[in-house]
Amino acid sequence: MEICETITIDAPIERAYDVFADLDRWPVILPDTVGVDVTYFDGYNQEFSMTVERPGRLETVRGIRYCRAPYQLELVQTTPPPAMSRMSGIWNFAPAGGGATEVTATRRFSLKAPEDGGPPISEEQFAVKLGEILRTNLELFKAAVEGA
Amino acid sequence: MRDGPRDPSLDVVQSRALVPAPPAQVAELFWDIRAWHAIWTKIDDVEVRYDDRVRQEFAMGVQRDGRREDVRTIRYRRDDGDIDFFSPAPPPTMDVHNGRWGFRADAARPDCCHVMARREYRLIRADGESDDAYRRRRRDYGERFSQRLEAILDCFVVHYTQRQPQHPEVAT
Repeated sequence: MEICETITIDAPIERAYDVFADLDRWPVILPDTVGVDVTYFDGYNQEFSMTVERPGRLETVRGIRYCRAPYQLELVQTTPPPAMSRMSGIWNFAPAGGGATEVTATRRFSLKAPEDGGPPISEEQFAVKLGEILRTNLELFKAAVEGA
Repeated sequence: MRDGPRDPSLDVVQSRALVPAPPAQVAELFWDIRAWHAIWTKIDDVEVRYDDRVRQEFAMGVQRDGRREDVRTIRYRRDDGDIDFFSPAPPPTMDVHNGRWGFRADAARPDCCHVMARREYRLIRADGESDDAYRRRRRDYGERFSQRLEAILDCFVVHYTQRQPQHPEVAT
């Protein structure tokens, strides 16, 4: 299942990219992110773990990002959230005219079966919820970039 | 693996071989890191921790210079079929280790594949090691690493032809 959200940020592409790329800033920008630990970064390949608050619990994911400044960040979660068997995604950055940047975020995911710890809803229903979260996060990043 | 200008502090070794099997078949065997154990005998053990057919994480125990090294590597299969990788836990003598396996068809021999191996790495400099000593160690290590890459590629040639390896002292 794949979802996609797009937002236009009133800032140059380099500035928009830098804020998304800087994982140390994520706990400041996203209120549900309580910790990020970058365990490897060579300027292109990046490995990290991230802990987020979920109702009644904390979730920690591990992931890899490929940082193709300033046009693309590609993500795979080698340890996805507990309800998922697969989670990957891409942020694409493109000039939008007038000095603005269009950011398109896609997520591709698979859910575990309910008997294996997956949620008791369909992937289509889950995609709607995930899309709302993705949209909210893009809005928060937009505010962070434009306020920087 | 990042395209573009190379970090000058990194050393590079490369090797290539003509493997007698079609590129898609060879590339798939290179992706199947569990299968390497039967081909490249320096491997002690492999644990695949993630594999979605595009991204892969594995931990490997491997023999080098007479001792075991534990390495953890992330691989990425590009759209062109080449395999990029980096090691967040590199061999203990290095603080950077990444590379690429490339697979190219030969128009004159569609049953064969040119395999290109590239490594970029940085040896950890010892405390108090002089410039000359570090330079010599980098040169010597690079020569051995290049021979090792040749031996790995030769093992894949052997796998497809069942001939005797050309680098028995390295491959065994």
